[in-house]
Amino acid sequence: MSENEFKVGETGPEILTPALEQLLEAAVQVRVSGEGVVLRAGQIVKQDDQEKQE
Amino acid sequence: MTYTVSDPARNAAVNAVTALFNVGSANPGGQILMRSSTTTIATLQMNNPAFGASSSGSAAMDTTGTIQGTVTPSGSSTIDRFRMSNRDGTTIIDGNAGSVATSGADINLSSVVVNQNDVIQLTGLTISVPSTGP
Repeated sequence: MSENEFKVGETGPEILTPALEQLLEAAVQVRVSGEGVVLRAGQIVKQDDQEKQE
Repeated sequence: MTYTVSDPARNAAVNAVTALFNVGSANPGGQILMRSSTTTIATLQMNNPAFGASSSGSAAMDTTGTIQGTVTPSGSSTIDRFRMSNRDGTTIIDGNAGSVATSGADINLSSVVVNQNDVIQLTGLTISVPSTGP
């Protein structure tokens, strides 16, 4: 292995770092976006009662 | 440093993540846990498959049949985070404190203070990968 080739090998990790950073950043940028409602237990009972009455 | 992610790459990433919720056999579908710190307050079961195909880097949860769960702990609880797992209960996405709130959070509920036997319904949820990075 020549001296130049060895130097390329040494600096390899530095050359790869930006690409790896991009991949890592992309990996953590999975986003979750959700919405929901809370139905109160008392309201559910009332709804059931209304349905029975109807 | 900034970068742009193509739509095919975004879709591939999203589809790879959403497919993980369908893995396993213990439950009919993956699960979303509404939690107060480390305590599970309600377990919502997803459909199988849980999500539709990703388009423009975003996939919507299949809400067919209503995605809901009943609050099980007695008394009052305050939900502050969520966890999404596959059918065997293996965690896929774990929300930190504050990831569930009434606004500005990853999952926004009409209220985070719940009582036993209340029912939590998720009306929509998407998983996405943005087209641009920081």
